[in-house]
Amino acid sequence: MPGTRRWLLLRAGGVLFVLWASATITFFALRLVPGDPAEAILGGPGSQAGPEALEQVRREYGLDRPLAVQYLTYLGRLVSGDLGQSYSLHKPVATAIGEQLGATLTLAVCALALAWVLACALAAWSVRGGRVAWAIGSGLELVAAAVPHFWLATVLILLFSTTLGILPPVSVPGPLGVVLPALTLAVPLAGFLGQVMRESLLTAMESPFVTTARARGESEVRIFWRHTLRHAAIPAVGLSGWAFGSLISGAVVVEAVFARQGLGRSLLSAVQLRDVTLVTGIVLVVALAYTVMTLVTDVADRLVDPRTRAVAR
Amino acid sequence: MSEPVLRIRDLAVSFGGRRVVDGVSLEVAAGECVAIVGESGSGKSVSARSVLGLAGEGARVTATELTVAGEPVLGLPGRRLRRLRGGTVGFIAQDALVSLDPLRPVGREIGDTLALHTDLGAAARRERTLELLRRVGLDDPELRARQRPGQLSGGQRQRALIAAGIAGEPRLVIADEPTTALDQPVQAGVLRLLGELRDEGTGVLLISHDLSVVRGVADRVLVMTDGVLVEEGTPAEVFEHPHHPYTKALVAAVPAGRPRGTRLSAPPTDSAAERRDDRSSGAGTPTTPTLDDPATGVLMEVHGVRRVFHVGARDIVAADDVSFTLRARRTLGLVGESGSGKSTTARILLGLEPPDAGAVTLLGEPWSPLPEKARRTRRPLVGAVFQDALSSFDPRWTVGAVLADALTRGRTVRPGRVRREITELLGTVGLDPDVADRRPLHLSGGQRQRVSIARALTGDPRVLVLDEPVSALDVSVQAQVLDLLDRLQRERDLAYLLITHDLGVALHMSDEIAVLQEGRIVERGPASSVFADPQHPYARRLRDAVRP
Amino acid sequence: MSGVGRSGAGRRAAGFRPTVAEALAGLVLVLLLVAAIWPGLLAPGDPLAVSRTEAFQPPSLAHVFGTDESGRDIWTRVVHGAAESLRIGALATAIGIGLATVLGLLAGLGPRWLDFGTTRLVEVLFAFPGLLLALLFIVVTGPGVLSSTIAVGLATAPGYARIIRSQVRRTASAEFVEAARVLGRGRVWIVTRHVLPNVTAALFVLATLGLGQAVIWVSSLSYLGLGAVPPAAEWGAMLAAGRTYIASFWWMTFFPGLAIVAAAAAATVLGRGIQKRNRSAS
Repeated sequence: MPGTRRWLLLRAGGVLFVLWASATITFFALRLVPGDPAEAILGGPGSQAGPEALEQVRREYGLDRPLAVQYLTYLGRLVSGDLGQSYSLHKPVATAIGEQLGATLTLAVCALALAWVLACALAAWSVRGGRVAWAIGSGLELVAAAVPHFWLATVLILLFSTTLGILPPVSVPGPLGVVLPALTLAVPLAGFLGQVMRESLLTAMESPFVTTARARGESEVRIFWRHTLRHAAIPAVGLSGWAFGSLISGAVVVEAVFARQGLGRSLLSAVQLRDVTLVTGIVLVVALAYTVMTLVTDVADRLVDPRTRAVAR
Repeated sequence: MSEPVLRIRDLAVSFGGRRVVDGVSLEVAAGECVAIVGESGSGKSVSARSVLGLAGEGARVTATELTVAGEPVLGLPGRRLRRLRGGTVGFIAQDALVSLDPLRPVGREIGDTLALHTDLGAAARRERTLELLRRVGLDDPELRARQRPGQLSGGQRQRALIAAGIAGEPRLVIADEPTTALDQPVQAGVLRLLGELRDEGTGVLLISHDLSVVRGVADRVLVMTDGVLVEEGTPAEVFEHPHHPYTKALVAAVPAGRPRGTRLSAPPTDSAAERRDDRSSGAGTPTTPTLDDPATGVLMEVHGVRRVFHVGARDIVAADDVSFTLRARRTLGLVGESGSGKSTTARILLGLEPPDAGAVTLLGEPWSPLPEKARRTRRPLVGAVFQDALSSFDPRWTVGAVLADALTRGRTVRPGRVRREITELLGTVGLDPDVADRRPLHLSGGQRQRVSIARALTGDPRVLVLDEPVSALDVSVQAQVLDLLDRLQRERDLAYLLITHDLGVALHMSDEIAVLQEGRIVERGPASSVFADPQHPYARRLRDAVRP
Repeated sequence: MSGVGRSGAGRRAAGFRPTVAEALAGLVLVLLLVAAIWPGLLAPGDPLAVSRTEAFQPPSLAHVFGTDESGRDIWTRVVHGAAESLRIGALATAIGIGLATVLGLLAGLGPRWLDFGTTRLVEVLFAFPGLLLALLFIVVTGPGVLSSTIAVGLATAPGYARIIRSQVRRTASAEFVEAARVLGRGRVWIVTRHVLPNVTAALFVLATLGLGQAVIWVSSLSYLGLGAVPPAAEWGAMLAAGRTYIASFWWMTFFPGLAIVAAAAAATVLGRGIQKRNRSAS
């Protein structure tokens, strides 16, 4: 399909553009910090960095050279994977991110899967359960979507750790430690996905093709699994890229609450310590992951929904 | 006649106390096609769906007898009912684009019916699916089975839907508006297919709002209105000698084959505007507009207009060397299938779209292409009536606001005068003054189109572009709107460009007809003779579609 | 044509009578507004009144939500915190939607190049999901109530801008706009009389839905210590303060959180209600 290849090339070009632009934004964000940029890199005026440390940073980042040169140097370093040096961790930002990335990805993937399971289960149950189940289902989704992560985490800790004592209140290594954080992230997301799915489920259930399926003698259960669920899932799949993004920002909170290792927690402490290099590094990496993720969902969307192929030429 | 495949006695359906079907009785024998004709809201579709237990959520269905092939349907437990659906009774809905799951290949849909109602294995089901697709007249069944509804043409889709409906070898087929979304030549093919089914011994219950559809294929016709059957007979009896007043009105409302100037709707007795109309033309008598000289009265001329759209790497020619002339008191009917470029032509005439080549003149002066500023002062001379009246009104505006806006066009006018003019305008199109305070959303389809016509009249135009003005309306409402347009043309010496896919409407309204195909006019001539001996194969197909 | 869809109509019917959920949401909103404007009506006490003897009291008749580490009544603090939390949330929403409206209108109504440029900009901003853009902003400006509010506004703007742009585009190509052109109406008139009013209706819905989210985000930032700081009676800050005592004194975090959930859910229900009615009316 030449159309598909053209589309893919265009999309890939778009991804590259977004990455370049995000790098530019982070570069200028660094320069926007009030005061001496060298000082900012070392943690701002409060850091009380010595003159020789400042001098070293200036040399390293080429801060004494023209802005254009600095910018190009910055881009050049990025391409080679050098995100700079974190003053608070005393190690390269890339290394720091590498150490933390795995934990956060595990958490995000678990949460995403859990959210999908919850949303689908709720949808399936409320489709079969009639009016009451429908009302309860949409009510649950609504509340779930309105729950802030930090509060939900607190309630879950109270319930499962303090009262029942079956799960650890802070994240411990191993699969048990990921349960509560993943659940905390998954519930609000499941609420959002569920709301979207419900809306499209309703539309699908009222579509004439459902009448056709009924008139063919299909049972309601089979109609749900074979026809309407797929229609309901399409918009929700399209949201998965966005969902991934919201999981990462949720991870900032959740990792802090559960004292769990990860990118989110590093980001938070970097913001608190005003470690600008580390913040921009993490933000850039997440932007990269997010953009790629969006591309992947778009491709998935094209696979699930053949109509987009016909229309979006 | 042996045991009928469907027997209904005293069927009644109500939704929450509102009775929509009352006392319907009918029988369908094997090898017979029975048609129920009625307009929207008549209860015809609900009656037919009741046979399958699909009248809808919250429906209360009662009948002294409702049997399919001797088996009572009412009170049948879920499992038995599901065996009946698709097995004994096949169902064919309208518009296969939405009635087949758009995400699944059509072959799968047919295969599902087979899996439910036969004990064929997977391979045998596949074989049978291809056989069925061939049976309904689709070429290359292997390819079609893999395609999704969106990848098929309208006619192909509808045939695939029929294949899915008959896959369980039903003894009764219920076809609910099976041709409504289709262009006329395609309709004919689908109807032929239903006729073949009937000839093979299947009972067919056909539901339609379109009398011409029913006429060719039905053995018996039932006319339904307000939930009640009012007339029954062979097509010849019902259409030639209707008894019930409703049937008479319905038959009279059909524009096809009625000469220009014939009234289609019964003259209402309560409207001043319509009374005025009565004086100007005797009901039922053809009054051919007398035209002194065809060469005079030229209002708009279209010369070699061309318009190409670039969609991705492809070029779509929407108009190619289109030329015609619009004259006062004359209607040019522009007919063609969907996508033939009718609407693009209309948009060029309205100055909404510049032509790539060619030109349009209005009263001998250039009109398009021209910068909008140069055109604006003469905009009042050209009015437009759109197909979907509702979306042509700002949803936030009342009818009064819409008309006031059109009347003033930016000038400051005393509110009292505007109010008076609105009332007058509404009277002209046969609407009560209090319609002004309502929103278009809360009006009926016919009322909306009348408001739309009223808006088009505000600038005292010479030319009206009518883009499918009646295609969304029921026959009797359509008749009223067509009569209104006819009267206005004579009263105001208007030139009409009538765009329609409905040949019957075109023949009834037009003096001259042009047939458009792929942006090109392939046939043209006086309405009385253009289809007498069509030269172009496409025009021939169109003609064959209207007279079976 | 026929009776198709009549079955579903009942469920979808958006009459102007509020549903149970909408009535509840309305009630919550009224309570919140009362709490924000005349907190004394609901809680006559002083939210900052310290009482060492009454520290860490569980919920009781005297203190329905219990007391905190300094013996302050949590119910009083939640009520008095409404003003601050809602003000911050509303300000953040206003910033986000205001920015988005400018971007959306530029893209939706401007020439092609402007649409292209604005759309790309929005796309790039979109690449920093959620809190990340807010955190990037805070690291530049430093933490605080104002900067966290602006940060949330900024972070939500790209999403709104997308919606507004598509709404503007949809309205600008609607058939009633074509009808206005046929009547000889100019571009400015069409934009001011047709496009803007129709987009405003959508903006109102966005703002209502967005308010709930903004309250959550801003309180999240406070919770993380980047926004309002204790002893301010702001919900997020109250939660942050209670964090230390979570294992023993659950009420310190539970009730302020409940207020956030109630506010966010009420805003969502009301926003959806308006949206549903708008849709059925157009």
